[in-house]
Amino acid sequence: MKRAFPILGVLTAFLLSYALYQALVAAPTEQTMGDVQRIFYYHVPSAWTAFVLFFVNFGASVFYLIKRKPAADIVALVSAEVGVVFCTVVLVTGPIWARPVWGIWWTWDMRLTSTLVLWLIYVSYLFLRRFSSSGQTPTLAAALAVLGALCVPFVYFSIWFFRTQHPQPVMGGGGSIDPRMLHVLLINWLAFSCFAFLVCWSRYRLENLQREVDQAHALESLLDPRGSTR
Amino acid sequence: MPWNRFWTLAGARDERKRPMSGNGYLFAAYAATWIIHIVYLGTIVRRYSRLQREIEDLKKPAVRS
Repeated sequence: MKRAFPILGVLTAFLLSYALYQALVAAPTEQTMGDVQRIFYYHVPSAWTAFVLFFVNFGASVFYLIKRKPAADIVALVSAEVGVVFCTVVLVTGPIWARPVWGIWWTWDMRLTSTLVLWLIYVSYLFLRRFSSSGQTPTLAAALAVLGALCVPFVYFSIWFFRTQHPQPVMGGGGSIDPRMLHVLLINWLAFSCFAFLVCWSRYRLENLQREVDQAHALESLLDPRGSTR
Repeated sequence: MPWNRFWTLAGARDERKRPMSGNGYLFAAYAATWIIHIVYLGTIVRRYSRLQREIEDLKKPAVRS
């Protein structure tokens, strides 16, 4: 396992570089938007990765509520945290693309607004985990995560349910895309998925270590209730 | 097709039908993506270093007051 991490790290770095080359150089230039359209190769894979991570968070939270396994709680926390990072990328790159194409940075369109609400739900989840000191925090957070996950399909399908300014989905929505563009998009998604997996892995190890240190501190204070100075 | 509707919407802003010059926006989006990821990775590294210091402190013999 110790050797797998650096090997996967090198492979991911290579894949990200290759995906960047594909997005900036190999992908054909879109006729109307020109190079601005290339933002799509970072924006869409980041959104898909965030959705996958929020579903992992949902699964781990349900598992924790049923089995009460600490490992499931850690997986839920880690996937939510990394998911929020990817969702932040979506919320930042979207307006940067919209400014030259729509002429505005932001509009209170259903897809954009629901994505912002989704982001706020998971940020509040992380705040709950960070600032609540109650022993019930993992259970409360898991319940919030289950409710938050219900928002994910709503965000995805909002462009079917409502008239929105946001472009239609690339796949499954009846839209069409140049096969070369689709190829680049999928390569970027693969690269970002590998990157997200690596970050989650690091964060999982860190959280495990943090809990071991917290236990050691608790044990130390039990053995020496008067406290000790170093 | 939905994409056509979108391209038409975008194209309507440029009457000469020339591709937009969006290199600045493209650079900004890619840079912002990597800045966000690097800042997050930085927080992980910082938390890991702090934990390592705590572990070292725990290993040291305590001096009773």
